[in-house]
Amino acid sequence: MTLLRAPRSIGATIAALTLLLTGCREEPVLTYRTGKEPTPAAVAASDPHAGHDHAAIPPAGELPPGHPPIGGEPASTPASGDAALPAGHPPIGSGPLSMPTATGPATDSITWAAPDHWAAKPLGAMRRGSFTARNEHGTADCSIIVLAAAQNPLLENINRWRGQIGLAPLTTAQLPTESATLDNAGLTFTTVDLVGPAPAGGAATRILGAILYRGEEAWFFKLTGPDAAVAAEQPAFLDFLRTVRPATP
Amino acid sequence: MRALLRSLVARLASLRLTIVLLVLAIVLVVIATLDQVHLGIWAVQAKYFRSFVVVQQLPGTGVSIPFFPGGYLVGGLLLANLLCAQFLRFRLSWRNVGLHLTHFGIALLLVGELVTGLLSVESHLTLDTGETRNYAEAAFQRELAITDITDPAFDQVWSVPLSRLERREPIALPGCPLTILPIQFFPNANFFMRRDAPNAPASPASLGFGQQVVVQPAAPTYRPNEENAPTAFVEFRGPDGPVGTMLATLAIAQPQTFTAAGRTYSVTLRRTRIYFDFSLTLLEFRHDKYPGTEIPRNFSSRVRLRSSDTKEDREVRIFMNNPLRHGGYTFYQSGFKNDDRTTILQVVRNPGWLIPYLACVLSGLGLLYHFALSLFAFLQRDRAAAAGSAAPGSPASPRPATGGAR
Repeated sequence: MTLLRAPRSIGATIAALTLLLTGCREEPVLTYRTGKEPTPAAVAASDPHAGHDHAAIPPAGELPPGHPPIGGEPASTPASGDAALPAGHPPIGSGPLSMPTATGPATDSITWAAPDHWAAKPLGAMRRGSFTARNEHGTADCSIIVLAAAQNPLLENINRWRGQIGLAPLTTAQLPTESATLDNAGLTFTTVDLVGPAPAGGAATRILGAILYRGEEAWFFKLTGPDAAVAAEQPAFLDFLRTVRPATP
Repeated sequence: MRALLRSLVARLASLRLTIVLLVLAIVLVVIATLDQVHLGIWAVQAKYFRSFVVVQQLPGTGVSIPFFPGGYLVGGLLLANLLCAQFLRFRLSWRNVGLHLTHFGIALLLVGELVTGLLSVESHLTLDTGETRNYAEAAFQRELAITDITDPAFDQVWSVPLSRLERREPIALPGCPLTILPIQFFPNANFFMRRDAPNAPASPASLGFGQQVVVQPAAPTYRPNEENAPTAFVEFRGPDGPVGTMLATLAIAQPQTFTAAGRTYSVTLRRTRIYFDFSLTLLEFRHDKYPGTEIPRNFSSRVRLRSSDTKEDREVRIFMNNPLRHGGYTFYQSGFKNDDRTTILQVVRNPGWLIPYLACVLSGLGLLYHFALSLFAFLQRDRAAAAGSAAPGSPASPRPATGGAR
């Protein structure tokens, strides 16, 4: 019985040590000095901080090129709030990053070739490729963005697209029947064709989407616009996907 | 003083303490196993076993309280208990040397686990072909890195652990005029463009890309193939008052910049970096397959190792079971990606890696000595008994007959 009566002093000692050690959990702020990080030559010329060898740093107020937020879509306009920029900071949206491009930037891990009749547009803060496809039915917008694969599961992103045009989200069980795969050049795309409900007196919106997981990157190819305009571009979009290749080093 | 010490040692050597600690250890293992459903193995290890105290948040509140002794505390007290009992109860004699050695080996094994848990760091080094890096990225730790990039020759970095952001208290940066005030912190989050969520509340961010983004807090994931996106809104304050508020998240790893007090700073939330005093360049990654098949035969990385003082410059081949050991770090071939153009090396620094080997040798020697002693004594007794039974007039041997023709 004496054994069962755990000594109070032992209990008190353990409790005291517990409380004492809880109070010592604050991790310190570390400070150290490093050399300048190497800069990819292809981007260096475009960077406002080139003199500081920090070409990868985007201007304040903009998302970094090719590293947009999870689930995000391209911004149609540069970031607002110039007044909030630090004094002396270079203007937003300047430099070659906003120039039209027909193929993937040299720093991307994949390349593509857009159909001839698609017009390249200036890249927004998030887009790696941006095109306008015009036909007799209207105008469709094609965007290419890249996100971190780990934080961008397939189903969530397809449901995000569905939500944008007023469709209900899918369940995991529905995904295989509501999507298709396209294999090309060793790359596997998951493709969807989504048509939203037509608003009263208006045309339905359609999204042709393709998602490619490649290492730590998730690439999103999206053609969106009025149903008829997008439907007319469907063969061109699929041909476009077939031009996507791993970039050669 | 001596009496106090003696009393303390006596209490630490107590069998009651042993039993209390063993019960605590059992309970700890049970609750940790149950919690593994929610937290996954790595978080459970850190919370329950590699901690002195298990801290639990009260449901529905932001208040965390210590509620159970952690593995280090229980294990440490068990170690003290073992050592005190050993020295109090076993006398030093040649007969007990084996037991002493064995117990010391077991104690050393416990110490080895403590040293490994406290000091070992696991990280990864990802290198594209031709790329050079002098740092690895921690497997589990994340940091808010504020870098003064003003000087063209070097960067001054302040690394703020995320645990400090969770506390939402002002954080002073040593030697820097800036102070950080965490406004919001989310262990995991999803993101939407503000254009897609027009009714979302205004962003706390006044600097950087956070103005364009709507942050939606998400439940932390503990699945082994998923990664959380820790996210924070942090306000920077300079000597003249607030500079602005910025969104930092692991999901958007590239730095954002701002200027304060005549200096330019970049901010990024990233995997905690561990810098070496040498660099590695990936010269070639090989993914060899058996001829005519897709079955991998070998993965190897040919790297160039250069020390910062330029005294060492050599090529090394890292492959399975043939890691590179240099500067206290061990680099193992761990993975690859990007169509075999990128190698992933697991980097382990464990100052206590030798301790388990030493502990096993000591315990082995102790057991060998002790059993040899017992065997020797047994044989002596056996011989004496045999000699006694063979002597004239002695009683018949009690041993059954053995051997004989078969």
